[in-house]
Amino acid sequence: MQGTTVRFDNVSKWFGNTAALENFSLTVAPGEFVTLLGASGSGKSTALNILAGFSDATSGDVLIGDRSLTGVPSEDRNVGMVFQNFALFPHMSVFDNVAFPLKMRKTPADETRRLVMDSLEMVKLAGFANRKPAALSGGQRQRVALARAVVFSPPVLLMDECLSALDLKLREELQGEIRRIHKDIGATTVFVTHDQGEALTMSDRVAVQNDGKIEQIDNPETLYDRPATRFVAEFIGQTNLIDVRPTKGGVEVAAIGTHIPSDKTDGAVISLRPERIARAGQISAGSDITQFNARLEDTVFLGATVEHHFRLKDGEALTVREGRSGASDLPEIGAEVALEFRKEDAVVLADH
Amino acid sequence: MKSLRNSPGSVLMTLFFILTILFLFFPIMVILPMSFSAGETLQFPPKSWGLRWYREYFNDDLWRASTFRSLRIALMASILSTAAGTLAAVGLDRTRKSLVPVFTGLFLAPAIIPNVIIALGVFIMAVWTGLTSSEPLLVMVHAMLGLPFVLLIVGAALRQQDPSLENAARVFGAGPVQAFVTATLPPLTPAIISSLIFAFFISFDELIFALFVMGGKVTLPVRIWSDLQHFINPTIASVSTIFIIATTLAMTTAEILRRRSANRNA
Ligand SMILES: Nc1ncnc2c1ncn2[C@@H]1O[C@H](COP(=O)(O)OP(=O)(O)O)[C@@H](O)[C@H]1O
Ligand SMILES: [Mg+2]
Repeated sequence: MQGTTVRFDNVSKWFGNTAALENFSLTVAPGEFVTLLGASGSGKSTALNILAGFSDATSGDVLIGDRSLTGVPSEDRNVGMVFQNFALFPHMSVFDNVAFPLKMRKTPADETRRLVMDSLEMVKLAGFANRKPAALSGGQRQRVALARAVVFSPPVLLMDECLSALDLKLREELQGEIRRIHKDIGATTVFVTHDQGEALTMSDRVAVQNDGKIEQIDNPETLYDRPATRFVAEFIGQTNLIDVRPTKGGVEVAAIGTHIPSDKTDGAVISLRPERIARAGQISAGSDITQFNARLEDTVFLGATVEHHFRLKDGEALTVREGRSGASDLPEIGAEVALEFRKEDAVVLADH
Repeated sequence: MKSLRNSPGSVLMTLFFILTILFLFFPIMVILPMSFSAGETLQFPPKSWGLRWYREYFNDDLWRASTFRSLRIALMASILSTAAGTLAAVGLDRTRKSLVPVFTGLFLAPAIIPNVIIALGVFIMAVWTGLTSSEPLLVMVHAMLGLPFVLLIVGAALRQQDPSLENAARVFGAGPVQAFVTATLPPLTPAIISSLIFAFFISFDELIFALFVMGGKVTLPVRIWSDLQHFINPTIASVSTIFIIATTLAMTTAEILRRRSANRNA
């Protein structure tokens, strides 16, 4: 099964006078796994509901392949969906739940049986066909919901926060399974989550959504290494935001006493990831490195890494993370420590 | 715990509890033995025992006619009431939030406005339209009386239900009606059956409206009422006993179903 292109073309959705989506445009390539990532209320479900046909856009259009979905009811859109709270039919057995899309498509009984059992096998629930959803654990219910969403090989698969109800270990297990199933069936997938870690591990591309608008859409590495806005830098992972002043050909970082080259003329902060800062002398020469001193205030043990909290000379806080291999010669609390980073790792951002 | 159980307060509570139960069950405890009396008049306690008054009830054409009339009216009223109430509950679930209290108030009004007042209105309407002694009219009136209970029972079950069930049915290929029938309705079955039973008995033991509008066509409660006014006949005790047992069984079933539907969707 090959996926189909999904396209949001300048979609807006208004509830009264608040915009849940504003000029939302997004093209998902055939077979691609794109995640809509954003805080609660940022309009992720609104986007998915418009795509699934549960609500209408105020303006703009949604297309699957070349076909505009305006006026097309849900049942004719041929998309699979996994809902946040499973939405399994409580009065039907697992088998009948998974068979539902096939029954609606008038698939012959023997083929239905084969497809349902294949689907259940794929999610490792072949032995549970006769159970009612109430007799399953949360993870098993989510698997049934997944089997039902893909049993009819839809070219497009939607998932709305479908893992947030599960505990961490189960969530990680299902993340892997969803990736594997996505590879197998090749459906164009739009996945919704508020969990940035989940978005980064699972997606080909992530669209960071804020207040109904897409702030940035990129692959996970780019999103993490080169955030386009201050919002994205803060939302994805952990970062140090240091105030800067624009100067000719870049920005002046007063707190560190250095100049970072940049094309941006409205640079107001730099984003510097904690693991990109090291103690002086540890970054191999060859790149443009800047060194500075900071006072260590605290060190926190995090398992595989330790986190140092420094204070810069103008009073700004700076977090540095390093592997435990260097833990044997940890600096003392209160000591002035020489630190360094590559200038190219500092991302210059405007203040909005 | 032990000291608490024997404290004067808890002894008083137990006494209060027993007295309350006795008070509530007193009518039943009097009527039940009286119905098995073999005597000519209502006696408590009966001097001799027998099924005489049960035979009397089952063999009397007029008693039988009023019983069947009541059963017929209650059956139709409960079906009408449950159908309308279920649709009302579903409709309310999809109504703009600001309008919900208005409609809820309207639907619940029959349970709050004193029946005598509504009955007066219905009586005037029946006279105007010439619908006195009309079973269909009483069916509609009884259906109206049951509506608030149906709305509350089915509405509660619906609020427990995951609203995305119907969306799920739609996106997997069901049209709007099919989605409603295959996804939304079946999980509500226990609540709907429970509503049917409630609505049935609301109609079956309703007296005031039947007195106002039914004229010559008496229902069972009207028959009991008029018998009580004229002569105290032990048949009433046997009818009441049957009535009490049937009602208790059905209401217990309804309550079990209602609880089951509440638990299942929780
Ligand atoms: N049916 C609705 N009526 C009014 N406002 C709504 C409705 N659905 C969503 N909204 C609003 O639209 C915004 C986006 O909601 P939603 O798409 O559910 O966000 P998310 O899924 O990202 O948490 C929120 O501010 C929410 O309050
Ligand atoms: Mg949401």
